[in-house]
Amino acid sequence: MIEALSNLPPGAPMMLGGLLLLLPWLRGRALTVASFGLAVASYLHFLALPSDLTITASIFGLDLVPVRLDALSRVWGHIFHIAAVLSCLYALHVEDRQQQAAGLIYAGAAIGAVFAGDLATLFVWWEVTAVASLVLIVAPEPGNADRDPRTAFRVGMRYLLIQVLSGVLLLAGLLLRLADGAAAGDDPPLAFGQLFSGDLLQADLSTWLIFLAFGIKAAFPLLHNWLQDAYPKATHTGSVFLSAFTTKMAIYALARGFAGTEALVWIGVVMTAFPIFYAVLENDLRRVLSYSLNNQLGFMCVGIGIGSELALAGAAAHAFAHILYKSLLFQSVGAVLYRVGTAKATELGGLYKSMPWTTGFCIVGSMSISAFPLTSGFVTKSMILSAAAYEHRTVVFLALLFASAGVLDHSGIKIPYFAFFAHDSGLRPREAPWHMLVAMGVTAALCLLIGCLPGTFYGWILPFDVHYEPYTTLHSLTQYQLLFFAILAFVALNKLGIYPHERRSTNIDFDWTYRRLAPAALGPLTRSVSRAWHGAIAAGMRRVRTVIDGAHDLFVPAGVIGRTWTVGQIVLWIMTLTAGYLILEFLRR
Amino acid sequence: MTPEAARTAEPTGEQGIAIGTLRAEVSRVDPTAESPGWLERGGGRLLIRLLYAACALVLVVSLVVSLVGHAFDHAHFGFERFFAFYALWGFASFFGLVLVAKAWRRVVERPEDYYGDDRPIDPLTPSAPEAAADAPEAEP
Repeated sequence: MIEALSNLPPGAPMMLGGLLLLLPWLRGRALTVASFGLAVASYLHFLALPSDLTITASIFGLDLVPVRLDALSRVWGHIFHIAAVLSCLYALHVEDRQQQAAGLIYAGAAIGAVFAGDLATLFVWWEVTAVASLVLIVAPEPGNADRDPRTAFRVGMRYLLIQVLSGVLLLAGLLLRLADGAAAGDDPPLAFGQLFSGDLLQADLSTWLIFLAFGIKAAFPLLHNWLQDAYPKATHTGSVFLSAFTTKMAIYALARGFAGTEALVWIGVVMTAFPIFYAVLENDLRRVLSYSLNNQLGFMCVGIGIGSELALAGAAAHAFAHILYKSLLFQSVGAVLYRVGTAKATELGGLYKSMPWTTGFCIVGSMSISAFPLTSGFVTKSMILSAAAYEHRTVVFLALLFASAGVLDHSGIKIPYFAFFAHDSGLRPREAPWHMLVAMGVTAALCLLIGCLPGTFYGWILPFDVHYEPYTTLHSLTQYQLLFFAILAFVALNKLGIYPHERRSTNIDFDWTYRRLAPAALGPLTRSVSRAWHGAIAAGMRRVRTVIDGAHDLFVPAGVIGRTWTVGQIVLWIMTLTAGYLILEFLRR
Repeated sequence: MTPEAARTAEPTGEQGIAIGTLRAEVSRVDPTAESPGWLERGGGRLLIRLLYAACALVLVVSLVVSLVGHAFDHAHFGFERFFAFYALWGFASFFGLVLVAKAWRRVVERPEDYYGDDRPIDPLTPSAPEAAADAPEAEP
């Protein structure tokens, strides 16, 4: 038994458990407790695995590596398990079999993906995460005023289309690679190691396809809208799960395959900068958090693009810290949504009076994402900034500083300010349930622990042996300057009455091109294709009906073939047929 | 479905278990009738004064360190050696960001129900326009 368990790949206990939960054995609170227990068991199993576990397999003559544990994947293994445990604890009240099972399978598949040693295995888990996470978006959630239950399905389909597109690109890329690799004698052609680095313009088609596949899930600029579209429409616990896995799985894939790819630096810079403009404007706080999530992914992309050991370690550490504080922010906004039924800034305000604990935990998350010293964001983001500085990349460095001030606005100030302070809405929701508070409390404690004990954290988690000291006089002083004066700007903007008021509105983003422009532009074409198609189908159906009607006329009791024949008629027919046969036989000779 | 109706409807899954229902436990009070909270009683003003003090303090310390210490000599860029660079950059970034975002809002802002999957909803009063909900979704 123990022997068999030790051979299970990491994440498998969670995934198999998720499948078992689908059977109607458990219900109610027992179901959700089992879900939490499975996540914990899966983490314990992962901790017990040897640190260099590799499982190889040969399928259809392909040498595959379904499991590869090493220093880089271990970082994601830890944080994905921690995120799964905390999310399950947070969702302890969701007695919905489908959501609980989907959450576990989703987390397990993401863990499977980061331990994939070859592209084929990666592809399988890549797609499983897409399908499993869909459940968390389309699951019914009555009382959630932020989404129309009848359109949740449409949101889900848009999400699934884009996620599956990413998978199809990955599949196309890996098949091309397999063909090229077989020709070039690569061994093994599907190994998932460093795929590319340097100037992307010189990459071949297969590399481009794989890069785009990763880019979609990492929410590169212009490929990003699925994130802001789907995450705010997920269930209040679903968005906590979603915020952790898909995008960070893509960041891992980029770190593994494309470290040192120069294009990633600039993609990352754009990613850090442009979502913050939307985050300033958005009204739905979960949408603000989705834009902010996108912005944080940009920091990681820059780190991966720079590609030095410090930068890569910084990207890994930042992914770790980011999952925690982003999850914490989604948890606190989710708790508000759970109690009030909406997470729109226009409807909220003054909630600190009745939800003090949630407010406190939200502020810890906000300070962490803003990278206040003594919080996790500071000790991880400064690694990426320092890596940019060591390479003397002035523009990148200044852009990241600008984005850091932007983070402070939308996640550091806007989220807690509009939800819990600002103008008093008069709403007095009850404090979040105990298990949500425990989940938020543990997450907040981890954020502070990482910020206060960076040495221990680096030693435990970093994939490379890099020495970095975040708390130098210069770092701390300059960070305090940046943050305090950015807050000062917020105060000044408010006093001057310039700070934008929250408004119920939709701010169109690039998804407008495929939700409005393309349908409008291609409307005549699609309509004529549709008309031609339906015409062809109708004509075909008419032909089929003619044949059926003809056969019917022949075979009905009164029809030529169907009616009862006399013996004389039959004999006549036999004679005719025999004669015909004789004549044919005669002619043949 | 109005939010009120949505909240009271308890859709049941297998074996009659209520699924995914938000436990909206919230009441609304008149904020002007309540005794003011700590923030309204002057806590907010205190926080802002503390912020001014913190800004002044961090600038003074930075100036002193840049004059007598060597911390700023470790900077990687020339502009970092100016003791107040980060303060200026942080203030300007935040201010500029908000101004640009406000201008950008004029370009991108649309009604809340632009795509047909967000409807203005008040969390407590069922004021959602039923007509809009029943209208067929805009299909190209």
